[in-house]
Amino acid sequence: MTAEFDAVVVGAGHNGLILGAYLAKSGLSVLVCENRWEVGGSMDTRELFPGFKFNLHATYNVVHGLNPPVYRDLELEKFGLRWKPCTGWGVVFGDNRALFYYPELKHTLKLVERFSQNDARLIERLFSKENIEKYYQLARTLFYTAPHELENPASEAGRIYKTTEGYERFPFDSTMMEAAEENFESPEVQTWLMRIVEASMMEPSESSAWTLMWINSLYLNLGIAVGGTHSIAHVLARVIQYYGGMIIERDPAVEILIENERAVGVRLKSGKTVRARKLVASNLNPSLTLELIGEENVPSEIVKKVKNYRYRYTSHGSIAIALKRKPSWKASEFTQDVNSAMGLSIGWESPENFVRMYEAHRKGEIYKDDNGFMAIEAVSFLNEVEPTLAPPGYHVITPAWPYFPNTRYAGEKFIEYMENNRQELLEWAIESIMDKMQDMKRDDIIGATIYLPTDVEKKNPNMYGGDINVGTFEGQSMWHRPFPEWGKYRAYPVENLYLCGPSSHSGGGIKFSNGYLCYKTIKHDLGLGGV
Amino acid sequence: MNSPDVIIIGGGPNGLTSGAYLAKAGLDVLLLESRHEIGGGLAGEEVTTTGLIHNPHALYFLLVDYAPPYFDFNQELAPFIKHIYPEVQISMVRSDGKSLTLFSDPEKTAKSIEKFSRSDSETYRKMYGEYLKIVEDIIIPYTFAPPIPPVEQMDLLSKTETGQNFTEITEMTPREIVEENFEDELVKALFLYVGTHPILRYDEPLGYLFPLYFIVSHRMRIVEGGTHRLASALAKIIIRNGGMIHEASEVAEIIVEDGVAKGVRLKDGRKIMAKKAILSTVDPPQTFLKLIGEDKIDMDLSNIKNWEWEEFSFFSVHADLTEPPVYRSDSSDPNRALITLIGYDSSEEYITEMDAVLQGRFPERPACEVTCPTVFDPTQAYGQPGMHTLRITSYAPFELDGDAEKWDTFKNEAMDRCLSVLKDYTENMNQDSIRYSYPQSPLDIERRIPSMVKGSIKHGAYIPFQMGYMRPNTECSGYRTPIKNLYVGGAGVYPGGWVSFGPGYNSANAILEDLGVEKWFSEPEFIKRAKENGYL
Repeated sequence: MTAEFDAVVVGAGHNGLILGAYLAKSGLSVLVCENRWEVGGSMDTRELFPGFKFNLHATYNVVHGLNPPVYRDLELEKFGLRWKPCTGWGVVFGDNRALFYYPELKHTLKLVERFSQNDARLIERLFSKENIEKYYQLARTLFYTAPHELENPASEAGRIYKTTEGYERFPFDSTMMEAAEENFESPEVQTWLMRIVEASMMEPSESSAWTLMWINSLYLNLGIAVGGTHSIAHVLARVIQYYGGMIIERDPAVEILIENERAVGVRLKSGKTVRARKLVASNLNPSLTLELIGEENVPSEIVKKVKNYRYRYTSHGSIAIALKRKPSWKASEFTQDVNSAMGLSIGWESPENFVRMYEAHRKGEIYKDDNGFMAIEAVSFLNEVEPTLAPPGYHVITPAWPYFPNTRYAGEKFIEYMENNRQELLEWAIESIMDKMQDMKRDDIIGATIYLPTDVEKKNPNMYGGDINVGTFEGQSMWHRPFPEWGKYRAYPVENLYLCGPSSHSGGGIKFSNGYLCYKTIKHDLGLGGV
Repeated sequence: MNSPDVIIIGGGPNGLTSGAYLAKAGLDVLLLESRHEIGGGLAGEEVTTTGLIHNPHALYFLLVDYAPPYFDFNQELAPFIKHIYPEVQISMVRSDGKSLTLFSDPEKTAKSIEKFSRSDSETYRKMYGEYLKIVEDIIIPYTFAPPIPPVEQMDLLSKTETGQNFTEITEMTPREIVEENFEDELVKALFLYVGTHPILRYDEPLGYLFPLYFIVSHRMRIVEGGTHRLASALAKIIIRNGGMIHEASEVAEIIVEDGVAKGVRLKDGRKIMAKKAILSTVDPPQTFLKLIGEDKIDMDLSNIKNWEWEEFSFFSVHADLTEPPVYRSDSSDPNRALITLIGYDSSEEYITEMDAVLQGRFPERPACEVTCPTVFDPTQAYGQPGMHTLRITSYAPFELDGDAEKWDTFKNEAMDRCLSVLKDYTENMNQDSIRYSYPQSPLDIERRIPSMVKGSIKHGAYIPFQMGYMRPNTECSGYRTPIKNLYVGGAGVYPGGWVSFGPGYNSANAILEDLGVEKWFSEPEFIKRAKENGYL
């Protein structure tokens, strides 16, 4: 059986859906095929315990403050997407003090003052209205400018950056750790700011100093999707269907058909052949894309580059806990407001921890903090912001992402260890959270479960070893992501084959970026009208 | 936002069905769902480990041969929905290992019964022929048409032999029908299960449902890829036809002005007006008492105020298995059955179990309905090839010893009881083959789906004054209400729940008729025939 479409998109994660929606709205006939039974990839909200919903992966939309073009181009609100503003993001330290963002900067500064007056003053200057506007302009340039529009968005972003006060203090050639230690006197302030950049999957050893303040500025304006992150997937899927596109789940592409060095369609697992008149796009990582193309269809140097594509040493799991009552952070003795902050990380004391964590992950070991507890990113009682996530009177801890080493790099033995110790790892994570809570009792827990990085990969095969960024940024960013020949959303040398996934610029996470930029590239190449 | 023509409250099977019919008729439909996901009982969740789909509610579908949506939307559903029809439908294993099997093929079933009783086998053959006629001539047409007042209906039925046969059993209880017809204890137990498995009492005079459950118990399908696929496919029809679906959108109020339903106010404060109609598919007390309010409706509300929730519900275990169960049995039928029944050898034991549940207890050794859909559909283990998903369900009280909250602490114990029965009846179910198990209590059912109050999966008990023309009451069982532009069409409305698609289909018909919108679908053949035969 053969079907024919203008465009076939392989993979219905965040970027595949965005690309599919733009193409459908432009009037192309579109098929999006997906391996899982549900669209959305890591936009995954699950009712693991009846009445209790958990965002297992993506939760915080860090580009919300940028008002991404996708919002209005695709009229996401009309299709039912609603956002709640959300702030918090911070760290609860071992001594149960805490640093986090408030909705208003002046309150944040007051909290910073308790660690260092000087640091508070410096942050105030760096986060002046004028600077933040520039940071956002810079970020928009990076995330929403297509290759044909600007040969080098990084240098344009750099030009904007140079006009901010941060430039002198956080130059391009230092690591964020050096710069943080040089400019801020409180180790807690350093840790807090770096932790947030780390959440955007930058690594401390990179020449990343310049990202410190503008990435932090994004966390002043986070959004979370009403009904859970999976709502974003629903809405994007509906845009595709509304404009006549077709999404087919449980039937992944097993081959990208190539004739005369052009992508002309796909073969699906069910055996169906789908011809693509204009293009095929892959939301998959380079290795999986290459598997579909076939090594024989690309030059050997491309095969080599695909094989050399590097993933992060750090991976994530996910913890979901349903609670009868909401516990109080021990840090509430330091400041009561910690109880309404979202996205609090535990297991961080000083910049030194970053080094130790990456060392542990490189060695394939789980990082422990100084007291033997697990480091967990973004512990949140999210139903405080989005009440639909828990039954009235009950609570959820979601998200809470424990850090693990990349399981592929850590090896078979480590994977076996994890699989055999699921319950123990869950217990350890619960203990680590309970240690930071004033009054959390075992009896309060109605249900709890852990997702390991191996589960992450099972669900989302893009995420090798549980790397949620689907490849490190180190040496693999901008138009060099995943490597220069495939760096501008086109899969050289195959004509009409496009790449829209997280292994292209701008990497992983829900940024409304890669799929959009891939669309712009296609639009330019094919001379499409429309959106 | 722009006002849609029709607002539908609730995205379960009925809301989705009605929405799909109305959207395809050209109406601008907005469907509002309170949960984060549409589907209601058409649910699927990876509740255990990643890559294994479990079906916490509907699992097998009984009306695939009859329900109009399957035919009317055949083209739209075809790319997404494939049904699997297991040859062995139900197999019952006696504690001594003997098995009794209900096949899709009645001839094979009769042979299986013959091993236990020659006379029961003859009776079964006769019943099958008689019931098939009753179902196809009468019950199916009645399911997909508005209800008829009882006196009028009696009159129509009295005119034919089939109608008279049907009338004879309508006031009997499932137990009476089984006792009157069969002699072997295991055969009685099987058909008592067949007549009551939508969670009905054995002693409720609902005999008119018996032929339906008897026949469709030979016709059960599962949806390849899991039940939730059906919800997604219906939703796609709505969207494809220009409709919208908003999740996490709980309706707090239906705005009624001067006796006309104008719009809805949502819990989050949004107010959305409807140009032409509002259809509520949530449970009747919620629609009339909570969303509208007594003072806004001029109608005798006694049936709604005294609405009875179902007297019992079900408890389920969802497990990940390394291999499907192999039963200790004289035949392989139980291993390849869609449903395997274990834990009781006679109708008396079945009744004792149900009595315990009705008294608020969860039995020490519960009677279990076991399904392992991956035997037929490996794609439900899409992320862990070779693994299997198992569901055990058992009748259970909502209030456990008088207290629903007790379930939160008791559910692991209840799960162990079910698993222990399973281990006893199988050769290979043990700690190694059961990798992960997950309990769902009646309290969890209410928490997941708020219209299933007290675990009422059919939105309200099947008792005579909540059935037929009386569901939810005589004014509203025809889907129209005394409030202009307000319609009802959930499981709490005629013909009821259990994914019959009846309320959804029938309410869409009523709305299209009232709005004078041309129907794009034709009247089902069975309705035409029923009209010719004088049943409608």
